[in-house]
Amino acid sequence: MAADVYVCEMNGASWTLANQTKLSGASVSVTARYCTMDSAAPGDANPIPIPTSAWNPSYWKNHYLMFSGSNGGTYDFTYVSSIRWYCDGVLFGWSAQKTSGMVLLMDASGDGSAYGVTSGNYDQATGAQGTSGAKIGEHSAWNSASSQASGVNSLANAITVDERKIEPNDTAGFVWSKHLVHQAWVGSNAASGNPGTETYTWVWDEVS
Amino acid sequence: MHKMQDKKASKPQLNQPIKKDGAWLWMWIAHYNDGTSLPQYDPYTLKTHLFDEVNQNKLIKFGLYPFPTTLARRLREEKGINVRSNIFLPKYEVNIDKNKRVIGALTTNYIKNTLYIYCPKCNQWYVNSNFNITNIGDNVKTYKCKTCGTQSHWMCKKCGKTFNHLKETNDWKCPDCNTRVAGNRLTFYEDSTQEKWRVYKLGYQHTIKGINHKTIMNIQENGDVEITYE
Repeated sequence: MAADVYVCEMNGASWTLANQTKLSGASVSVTARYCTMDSAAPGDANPIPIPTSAWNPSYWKNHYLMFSGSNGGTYDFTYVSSIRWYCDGVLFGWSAQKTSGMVLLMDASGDGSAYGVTSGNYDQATGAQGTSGAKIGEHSAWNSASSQASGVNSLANAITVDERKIEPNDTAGFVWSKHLVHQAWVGSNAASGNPGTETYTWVWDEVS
Repeated sequence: MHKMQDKKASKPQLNQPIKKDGAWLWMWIAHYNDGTSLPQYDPYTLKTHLFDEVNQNKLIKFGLYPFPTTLARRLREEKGINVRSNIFLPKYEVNIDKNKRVIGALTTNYIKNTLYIYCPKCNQWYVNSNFNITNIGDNVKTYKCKTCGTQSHWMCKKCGKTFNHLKETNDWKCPDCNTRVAGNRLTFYEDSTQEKWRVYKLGYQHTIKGINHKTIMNIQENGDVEITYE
């Protein structure tokens, strides 16, 4: 049997290895909503306030791919590789040009050469609930000093030609991918209300 | 200031057919030079074999085959494996001689989450790209259907004239009858689906004058094939 694969969102204070296919604290995600709380299903609660100046970030989101397919304790696929993630490059209808009326999307550089954060470096999204989230660009565990200085990465560039390459997290078991950590930044001139939606796509190669 | 009023109705069902449900459409079989073969799924025991188990030294042919109807049903019902039998799909095979090494059992897989939005005028669900988001004044944003142009708007309480933006009014008043306008917010419901699909890859690689060459069939789920050389 080949792998069953799910997009998962991780929330909560910490993760533990619940079993060979799932990290506790995670939930299967079909949609996610940027907000100012650490929740996979916030509903309309705690939206991102429009700041009077500069930018207001959401709490960061933490997503990864979970590969199941256990067959008597062994995995039912030979290996998984080349995990990628991309969006359509047009974020909430705006171009990549940064203006204060935009909603930007940012992600963490990761803790290695490829994008993505390992489960061991998971950190709960923090900030002032209902007000703003902490900036992932200022999280020293995920971003080098140089990338903090230059800011984090705009996801507007994360299209197929510059997609995020998120390698498997566990070379022994290949049970989940590294985590994509991302957040939305709302500019001071952004209009209130629902800004619309984005479509994200995950891709990976598998030898069954 | 007037508040936009929601005109709520019961949410219609999103019956968008999920055409890409991630079901496996082909299984591989390795054929050996002694007349035996190794299938990905044993048709009797349903045991799964991995590509790692293929004996490359005996391999003479490697193929992708649509699932037989009975095997597909048993794999679904007895093993819970998401496979589907489609007898109209072709089979794909590569012959392997001693100079070639098979590239098989490889798939590139996709998961895409898509939001659908319901247009109350069309009475139809569309993918979110069928809508623009427009500001109609007073910092109010609304979806605008690209098919019929419907959006939330402002309406004169007296004559019923509608305005797509506040700037079309005389400071909140109807230019025709000088009556205050009110917001008429339409409900654009949202719902989402998740699509899963894959591209199957089958081919071989061989070395010519020290350079490795790959010939790969990239097989779409509808059976279309694109051949690439690397």
